Amino acid sequence: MPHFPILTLITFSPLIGILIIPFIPKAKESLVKWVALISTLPALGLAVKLFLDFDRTTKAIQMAEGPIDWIKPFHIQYYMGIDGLSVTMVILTALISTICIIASWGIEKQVKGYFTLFLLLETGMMGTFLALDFFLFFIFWEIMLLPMYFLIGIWGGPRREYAAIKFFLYTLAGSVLMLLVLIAFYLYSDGHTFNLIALQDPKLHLGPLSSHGIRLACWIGLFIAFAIKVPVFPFHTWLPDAHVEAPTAISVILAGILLKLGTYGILRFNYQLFPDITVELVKWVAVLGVINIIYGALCAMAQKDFKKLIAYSSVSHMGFVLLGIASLTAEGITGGVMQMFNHGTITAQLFLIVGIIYDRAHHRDINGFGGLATAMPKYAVWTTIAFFAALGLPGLSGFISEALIFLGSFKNWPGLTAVAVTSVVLTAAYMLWTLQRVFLGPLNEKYKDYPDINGREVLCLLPLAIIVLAMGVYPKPLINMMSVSLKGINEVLVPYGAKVASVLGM
Amino acid sequence: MNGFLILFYFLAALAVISATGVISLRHPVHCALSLVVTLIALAGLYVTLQADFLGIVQVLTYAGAILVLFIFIIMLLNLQDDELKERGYGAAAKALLAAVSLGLFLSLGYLVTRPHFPISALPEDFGSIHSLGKALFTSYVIPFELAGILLTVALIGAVLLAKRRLELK
Amino acid sequence: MRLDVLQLWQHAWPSLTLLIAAMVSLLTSVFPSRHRARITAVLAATAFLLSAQGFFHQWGLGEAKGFEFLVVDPLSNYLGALIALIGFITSIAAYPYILSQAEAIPEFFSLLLFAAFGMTTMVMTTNLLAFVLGLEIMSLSLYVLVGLRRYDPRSGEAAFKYFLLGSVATAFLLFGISFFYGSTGTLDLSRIPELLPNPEMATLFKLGALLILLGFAFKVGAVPFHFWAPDVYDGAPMPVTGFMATGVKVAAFGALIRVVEAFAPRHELPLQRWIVMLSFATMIVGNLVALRQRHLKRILAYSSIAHAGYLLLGMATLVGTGEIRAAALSPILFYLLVYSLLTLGVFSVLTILSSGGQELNDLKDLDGLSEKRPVLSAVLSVFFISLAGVPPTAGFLAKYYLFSQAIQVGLYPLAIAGILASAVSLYYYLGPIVRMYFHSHEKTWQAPGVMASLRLLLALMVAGVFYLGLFPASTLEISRRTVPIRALEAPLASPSAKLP
Repeated sequence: MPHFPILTLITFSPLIGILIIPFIPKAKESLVKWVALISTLPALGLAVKLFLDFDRTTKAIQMAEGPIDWIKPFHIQYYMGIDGLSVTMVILTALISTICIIASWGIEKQVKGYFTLFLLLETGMMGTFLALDFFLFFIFWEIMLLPMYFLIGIWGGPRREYAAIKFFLYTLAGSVLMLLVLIAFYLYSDGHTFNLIALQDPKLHLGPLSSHGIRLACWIGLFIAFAIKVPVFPFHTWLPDAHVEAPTAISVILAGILLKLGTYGILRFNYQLFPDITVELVKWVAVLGVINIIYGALCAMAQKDFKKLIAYSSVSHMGFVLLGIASLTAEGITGGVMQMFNHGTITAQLFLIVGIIYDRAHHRDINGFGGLATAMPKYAVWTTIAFFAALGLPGLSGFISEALIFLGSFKNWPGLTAVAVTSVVLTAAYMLWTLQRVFLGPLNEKYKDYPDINGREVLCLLPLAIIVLAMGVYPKPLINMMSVSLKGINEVLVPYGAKVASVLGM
Repeated sequence: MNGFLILFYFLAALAVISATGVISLRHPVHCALSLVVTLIALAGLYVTLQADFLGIVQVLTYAGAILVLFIFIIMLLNLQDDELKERGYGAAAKALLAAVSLGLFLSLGYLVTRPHFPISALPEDFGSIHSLGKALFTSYVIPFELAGILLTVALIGAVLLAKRRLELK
Repeated sequence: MRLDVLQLWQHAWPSLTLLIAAMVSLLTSVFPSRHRARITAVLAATAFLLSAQGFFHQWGLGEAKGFEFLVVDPLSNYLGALIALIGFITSIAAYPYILSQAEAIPEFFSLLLFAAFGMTTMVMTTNLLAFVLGLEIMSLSLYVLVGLRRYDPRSGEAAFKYFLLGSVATAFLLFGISFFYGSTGTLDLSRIPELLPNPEMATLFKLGALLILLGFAFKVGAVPFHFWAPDVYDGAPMPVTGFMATGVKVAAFGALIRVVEAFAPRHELPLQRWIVMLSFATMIVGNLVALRQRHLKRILAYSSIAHAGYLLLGMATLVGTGEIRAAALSPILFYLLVYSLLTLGVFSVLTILSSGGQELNDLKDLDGLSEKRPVLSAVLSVFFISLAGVPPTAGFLAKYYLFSQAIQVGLYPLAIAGILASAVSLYYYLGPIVRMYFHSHEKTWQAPGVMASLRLLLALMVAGVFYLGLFPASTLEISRRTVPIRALEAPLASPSAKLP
């Protein structure tokens, strides 16, 4: 290995915990938790190093490890690397994972199993963002599936079995489609390679893979596989169930990271392997994005369950990401990827906030609360920050990314963008209405004695809130990290009819 | 040649019909007797194929020894008449059965005293004990030994399934 | 032609070791000893291991010529080693079960060895006569093993059903073989290429080939000849079910490879169409019916049917010309290995759980197992997940190899049906896992301890699941080098011996 294998370490360091935890005596539950927390720290530390060392001036793959032959008979390679598209996601994953371990401190049932699966999940997520070999990506993609299934199914709410199986079957359907495309690449790429960077060269796409019909089918297959994860309407129905039943920390992981894998995959696979088809079909991506935005917002407005409301707001916000990347302009795509990052931090806060009140009240009925601001004033402040960030208040990070998305998409899809902009009003409406119902009004006597937010909970929310505030005021470090690479993605699309944009000096 | 074909079809049909009788008749002794008919018909078929020795051995071991064993066991079971619900046969059926039996014996008699069946050119000693033994113990010794192993397994299995249950300690 | 016994021993000793051990282990019942059971088990396990080692050694030596009824080539040695390993794992996993459940301990191991000997005979011949004898040695031993729990009416019923339907399968096969002999004048499959097409006998030849194929379809449990499997699996003692599900499949598919290889160059046979239809029906029916099952062993029975469907898909790719045939064999061999490992893993754990005196039966019996036996539950889950084909386990890679091969030769609809069917299979493999982890337990577990040797074995098997999933290159190389020499040379060289 020519250089320090930072990406391999960041991916596999959580496994250290998996090796230790089985040997801890069952009674020492807090030791298990500490071991789990400590084994997420190397990844977090390395993520900081990644942030500092990342070369912001090149769109090329950096810190690459490999490609090394892994399963030679099948031409499968071990190839990890990072660029402006994945770097923010890796940092987000490291941060959210550590926070979620802290948020899981209250787990009491089968503690060892929970944290083992959690750490395995983190490895899967990291690997998926870092893998640059299609097969390796698929392996990591599938590795995430089972821990998530068990984490929802064992530690979830009353309908956990249903929610877990639904999540599983939806994702599995996507995996099958992805597998078919994978096999197509194996058979018909020059040299049978799975190397995603090499495959960006259309000259390697031979035989059926160079025919328009097959390319279209492959694009749609991949898109559905990723759209299920995002989730794009009409593949979204697993999401509210999974969120409602999952334990808090798992909801945070799900909304904060897993959903991003969908849009990440669209940018990494659909955009870069099939730029021609992308330009041809991007109109529909934009339409689906707008449907997501409006549909998610309307559904959120109708919810009585606090967590379900957040889940639908997630659907709505992921619609912005789709609209952004469908704009095919540099600022739209940058806005989309930034929205991925911001949504990760903001929604993570929202789910943590729901978890905090659920731990105390053991229900999530929005109308059952009221006047909590009197009983839990600090909690109300944290909630307000997160809610305002979610509805895109200027000065908080959500505003920046949404503004960029609208700027970019207006160039290509003025009509659709006009429709999407109305969601700003809708979002503000359901968010503020929720705030009012939960925190204002007369205090429900039942909740008078609830303890306010405690130190551990603040520890979870604080780093996220700092990021939201900082990125809202000074987003340049974030934008700089990604802009060169994302511009590169856009430039590949230009020959097929995409527009290049030049506002904001991008 | 025509007579030979008729003989072949007669014996073949008889083998199939009596085999059906083995599984469809109710009285165990009748079943066993049907089996005898099947086996003798098969022996007849062997003889038409020039395998005289095989035909004779077939009659001796199967129709002779094994069937006697079967009937002996049926007797030991000592089945009551009401369990069997015997049906009588009509006069027509009896006449048919008699005709078939007569046909069987006639064809067997013909086979035993036949001059020669012109099937195809065969070695002089085809079907004799000498050539059969030679084949079995030289070129076919592996299948022969395998058949021996097969019978051993069958024996072990029979003993195992039939032996009385021991009390587990 | 005289048989050189010394030469025979030199080439077939791994198989004959099993036979000798089978005879010797019967003798142990002569000595009334408290250690009798253990001695027999150790004898059987040692014989299996020795035999596996022998097969593997022979595998490295390549092809040996000079026997009329015996084929000693890398393919037979690969399959032989696999069968011996299956026997080894079964004999270790079955020990505590047999101790508590049956009185016929020496006979159990003896019949296990006999059955394995029959299996190795099946894969070590291209002569249909020797093949049928091997098949019957295997089947008779299994009929008795299935009925080993004589006092349990379900076991008896299963044995009887297996016996009757197995005999029907043999009848199909014998019928086909006699037609084949009638139309060609030989029983040796390796002579097929030198036969000239005979228009007079074409129908008889075709019918013979079809009946032989159907006989196999019966033995491997292909739809629509699968209906015996669920009942027999359900009634058989747990370790015997595991042995049947793996050993019979390996032996029958091994022999089927020979048959398909032999018939493939005869273009007048619509062989590929037959196999494709069988495979299609088997994958679809096996997986869909498994969804509706509530009994653990029935789920596993339909799962083994479904896997037979995937393997038949591999067989369909085998019916090609020259190079494709050589390439198509390797995925089948690898799949057989992985399937055997996973299925034996599942049955080993279930055997342990059934050793307490009560056979696991309903899915409900697994409720809450994860709380009582966390390690066994985790191990069982690994095997189930891998059977479903989830990466990064061996099951995924084996399926991937098989399906990508099918796509490569252009069997698109079949491969896509296979991929969809195996996606469906995840649902029923998750059933037991859901029971173990998501449901709380009601009954008290009679939880026997696990022998150290069995623990080690299970650990090795789990390691194997991940090893074959993550680092399969060396094992793939073995399966690639096992292709019979004949398949590589497109027109076959004619053997020197003359027809009988």
